[in-house]
Amino acid sequence: MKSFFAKATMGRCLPYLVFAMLLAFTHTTDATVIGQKSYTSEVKPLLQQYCFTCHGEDTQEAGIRYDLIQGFSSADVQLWTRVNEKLLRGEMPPKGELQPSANEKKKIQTWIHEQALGARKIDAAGGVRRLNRRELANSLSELLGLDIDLSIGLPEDGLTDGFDTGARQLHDTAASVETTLDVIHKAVSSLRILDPPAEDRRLITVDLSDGKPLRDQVGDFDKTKIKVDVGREVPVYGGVLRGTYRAGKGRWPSVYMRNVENGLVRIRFELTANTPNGLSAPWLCTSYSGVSGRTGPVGQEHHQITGTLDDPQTVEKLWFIEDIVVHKRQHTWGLEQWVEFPFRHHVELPYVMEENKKLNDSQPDLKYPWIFVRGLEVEYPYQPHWRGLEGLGPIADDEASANKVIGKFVTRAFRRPVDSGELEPFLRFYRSRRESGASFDEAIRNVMEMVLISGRFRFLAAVDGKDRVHDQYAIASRLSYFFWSNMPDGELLTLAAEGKLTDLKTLDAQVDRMLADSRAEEFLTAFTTMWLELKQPIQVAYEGRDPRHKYKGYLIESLRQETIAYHQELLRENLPARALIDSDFAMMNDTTADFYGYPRLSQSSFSKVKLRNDDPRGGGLFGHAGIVSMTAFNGLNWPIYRGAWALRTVLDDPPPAPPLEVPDLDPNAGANRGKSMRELLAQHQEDARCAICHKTMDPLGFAFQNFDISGRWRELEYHQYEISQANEAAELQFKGKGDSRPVDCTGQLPRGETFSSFAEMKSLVAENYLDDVVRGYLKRLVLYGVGRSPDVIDMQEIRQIMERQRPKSYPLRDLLKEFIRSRAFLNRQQAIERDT
Amino acid sequence: MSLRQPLSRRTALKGLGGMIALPYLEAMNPHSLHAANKSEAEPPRMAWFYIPGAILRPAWFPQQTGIDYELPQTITNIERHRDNFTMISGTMHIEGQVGGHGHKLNWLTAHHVRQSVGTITNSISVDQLAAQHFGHTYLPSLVLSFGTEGGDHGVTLSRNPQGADIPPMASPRAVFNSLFPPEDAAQLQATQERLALKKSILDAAIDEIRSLHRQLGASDQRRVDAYLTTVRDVEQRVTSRREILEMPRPKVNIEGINLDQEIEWKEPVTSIKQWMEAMTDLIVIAFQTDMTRVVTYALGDEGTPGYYGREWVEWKEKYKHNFGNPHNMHHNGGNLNELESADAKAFGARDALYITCFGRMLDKLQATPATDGNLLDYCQLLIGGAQDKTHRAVNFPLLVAGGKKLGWKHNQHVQFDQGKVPTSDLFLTMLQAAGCPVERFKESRGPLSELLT
Repeated sequence: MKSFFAKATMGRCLPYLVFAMLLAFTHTTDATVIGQKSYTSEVKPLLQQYCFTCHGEDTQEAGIRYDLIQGFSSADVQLWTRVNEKLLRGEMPPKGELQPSANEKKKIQTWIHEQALGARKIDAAGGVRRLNRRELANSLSELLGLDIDLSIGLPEDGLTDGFDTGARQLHDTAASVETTLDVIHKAVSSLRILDPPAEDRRLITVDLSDGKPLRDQVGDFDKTKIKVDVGREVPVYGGVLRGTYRAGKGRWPSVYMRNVENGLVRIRFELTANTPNGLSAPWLCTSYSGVSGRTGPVGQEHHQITGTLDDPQTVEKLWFIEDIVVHKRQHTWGLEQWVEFPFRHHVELPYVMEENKKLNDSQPDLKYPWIFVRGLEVEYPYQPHWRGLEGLGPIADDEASANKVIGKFVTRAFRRPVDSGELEPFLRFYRSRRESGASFDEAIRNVMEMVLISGRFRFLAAVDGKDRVHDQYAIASRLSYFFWSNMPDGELLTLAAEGKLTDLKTLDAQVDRMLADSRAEEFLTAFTTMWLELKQPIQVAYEGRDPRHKYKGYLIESLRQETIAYHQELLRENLPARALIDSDFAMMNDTTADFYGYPRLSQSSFSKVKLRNDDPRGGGLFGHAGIVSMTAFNGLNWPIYRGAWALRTVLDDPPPAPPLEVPDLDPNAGANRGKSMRELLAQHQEDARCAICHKTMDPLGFAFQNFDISGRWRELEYHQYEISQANEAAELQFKGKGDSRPVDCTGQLPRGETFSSFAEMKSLVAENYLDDVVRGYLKRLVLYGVGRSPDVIDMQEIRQIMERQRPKSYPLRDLLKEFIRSRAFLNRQQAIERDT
Repeated sequence: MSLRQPLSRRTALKGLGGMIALPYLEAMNPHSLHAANKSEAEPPRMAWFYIPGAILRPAWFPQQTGIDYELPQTITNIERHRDNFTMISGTMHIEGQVGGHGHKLNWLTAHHVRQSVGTITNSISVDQLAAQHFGHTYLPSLVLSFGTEGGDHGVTLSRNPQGADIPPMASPRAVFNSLFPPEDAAQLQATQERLALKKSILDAAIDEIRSLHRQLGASDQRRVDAYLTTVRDVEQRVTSRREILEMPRPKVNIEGINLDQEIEWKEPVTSIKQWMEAMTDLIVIAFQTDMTRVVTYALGDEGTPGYYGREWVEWKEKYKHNFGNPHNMHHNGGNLNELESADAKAFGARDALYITCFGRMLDKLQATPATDGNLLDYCQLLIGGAQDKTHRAVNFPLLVAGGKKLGWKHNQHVQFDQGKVPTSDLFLTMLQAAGCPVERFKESRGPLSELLT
């Protein structure tokens, strides 16, 4: 089969702007324009003199034109921020062009600054903002006490420069609000307050370890309407287990249900693993698919199984029937309508083990890792009591109890104390529901829905300086959504109540505490992923069929985690920012250590490994196999893509969008055939329109030529690579073709420094570009934590932070603390006005 | 209210045969609340049909322009509708071109899509803009496709105002169930109760949001104000839907619509023809009953798994060719110079099949009476695609049918200067013909007067 990738032409539209198309003539309906008068009299003449030639009516370099501007538009905040930066750094007008005087520059900058302050008053992006999809799903789970991913079915959010926290993009439409209300309804409907469990509740517990016939345990199918199929018996541990499984083989229990209605199902597996000496425990990879109709796939879960026969590990999963495909097919046992729970399990190992051909399910060889199912339990409908009832004392069907329950729920949902005035609408709604005939439980659930669609729950409060008490709780929420993407915990609320959350020492201590908490996983994953664009596919390819393909799911996931773990380690140890670029260690786990050729580790969790002196990859983000694989777009190891990625995410120097009138660079087109990438790109740069960006992207991109499509180090490169997908199971294969030659990675950094090796590039970046790296990092923190791309005022504060931290070489956790203390994060508008 | 509602009326439907009573106003009159309340005019409808990947252009584009053009091979099957459609060539998304395989991402948005995998930025699609301006129907729009996923390999053509994908539906049964409220009395009641409850929750929430709004400083009010407006809008929709539920029901004939066909593209199970016929029949009923006025329908995707319809097996046999990778077929299939190649023949057959099914839908719409004339004259239906044998998004093959009462001239081939006229102009023309008060859409410069009377 011919390859999908090999023929793909190189679309020109690869390196995209992070600061999406700063078109000055953008018109959005809600843009407000201010400062028209001063613009026309003071600023416009200067722009006309120095800028219009390249950014005017006739030419629009980088897609920017100033001649249509009439003042400071709220839609152009980013444009003006950039203008200010370029002036500050002396990058515009470019060398060789007519330069404005210091006074003239100052005039423009002062004007920009004044307007930016004015714009904030009109539209304070970074004040109130809506919870995004992740935050809403987490908050709902937390508040309702349901351990289930409620983001299924919730509408997606718009992104701001690749981040899901941007206030401007977090607006709603009727359709998205209604969908959200439906998800809320689905979630709330499973809760009980006073009601006893449903009469028709089905509960099945199966113990597979004692050899009792399954039929006796499951009960009469006609009554239970649940069928469990556990596969073959396996003699093991002197007894018989069923539903056993090992890498690539075996059969997992299936669970079927018939005559199901809406609601929650709880399925619990008791698992035990056989882990031979020296190996790490096997992973149970569960993928959920086949989820019904309009909601799309649900994703994957990975559980490392360390349970033993006596102390089995429990893996529990909740499902909404609404989320599962309901089959109508006639089955051998005559079901009219049934659901099969859409697990697909397989066991993965950290590294390939020699296959024993004789192995089969009835002869388990305990030299290999196995996962056994010891027991399972199915409950439907699953209707837990609302978790918040704990500590409320006795609840009865009376108004006092209702007030107590609703009061607690609203307080939790609003993340702060609630006064009786605020509570009253909810109590009123409760009473009206009761009057219309709803039961106690129903009315409470109705009120919960109302609370969860209310503005005070869905919006993160602003710190607006009007009310000290209010501000304290707003900061508590800001902190908890920053680190945990979830509601504040008891300690934060206590500190808020004590008025301590504006105390800088307290804030520092909270950074330490919250970062060390396991919930900080949310910040580390979400932030690192959006910052470094880690959602792109990692391509693990081997030459030809290879047994390692079988285990690559776990490897790919681990390679993605490596970068997150590395960021975590830098923060944990408060290492200098230089370590982002260069260090002497890497974070490895069992499978990545094997992949990188280091001694075996037995842990799936990441630990710090000191790199060998002769490891050419070295430490730092640039050498992470996941990253260099993701950026090997279409398998052509494309220097452009890698160069653009480095500029965009790490060096804070995003290349502008490619112009549209330039023809594609097609390596397969007639005269281009047989030319090396370096030759092709040199040719491409002869076109002045291309050269503008390619002269920065390409020479930097060549630094990564030592990495192949899967991020493995190579010393030789082939003239061409053939990449193909061997089968539906996506076994990616690649093979060098034609002549081979030593990798040539000579290149150049944006400011002209030349290098001839990957290591040299890294040390040049660490020496000469650290300010850019840190600035980019702080800008992303502002966007993630405040909900806006930094404006001129934020940039000023970022520079102040950098000046303070530069002498200490920018320790990463200190940078984070500085950000949490910042006026931007604490939204101290008054302070800003006073200070400037 | 019960915690759980009965799952569906699948079983209940079985016994009812083909005729199903549906909520409806009188068949010959305007059906929606909007139209009923505001005017007597038949409301306009719009639908977009996306042909994936390469379209066999030599068999699609006419040789001549103007009125006396000769129908090209692919289009001959709808000769009888010559008066009802316009062929358009030469338009493209000028700024909003995409590289690679992302044409379906921006065919209806004209957005310059940032397409690094995992992070797609996009903007509102033209259909959703239309839906915003149309009155409240039972469904704001129908989003149809061959699969149910959005996202990176999105198969949906529709994006909300934030540019996020609107998940599509693939199965005729799912479409039918979402289009029409339950006909079973108990279920209808449950639906009505849920809507009533939803309305009271929203009403209560509106007061709460208003009180929050009052507490805020001016700069924060804007965002909460927008939320308040949106929640009010939801409340309005829910109210409309309740009223629609209470309306009298005419009978709609669904006999012959295969609602329960299995949708499976990885194996040659589903017939493209049968599936498209069922879906277009549902579109006709949806328009006829005015349950929605806006439809998008992606007929497939460029790569897998879009091309394993049962017909491909026949074409493979007929044209004696091993098609192999569908992606490569597209690169070869649109080839101008090799009209006689097996790939080209198969793609011609595919295009013709789509057009035949499209024509069948035109027949049915034409046979459906409207307030004044027939329903086809009030529907603007665009079928076409966005790319040729390479990934270049130029010279879109487009055909607009219907809408004569909305101002369409028809019976002509209009060729625009390539690279000069944005497809956004066409979208703007359609929006304005449908009475949407919009001045521009993305790259538009103005409506295309050539197309209208």
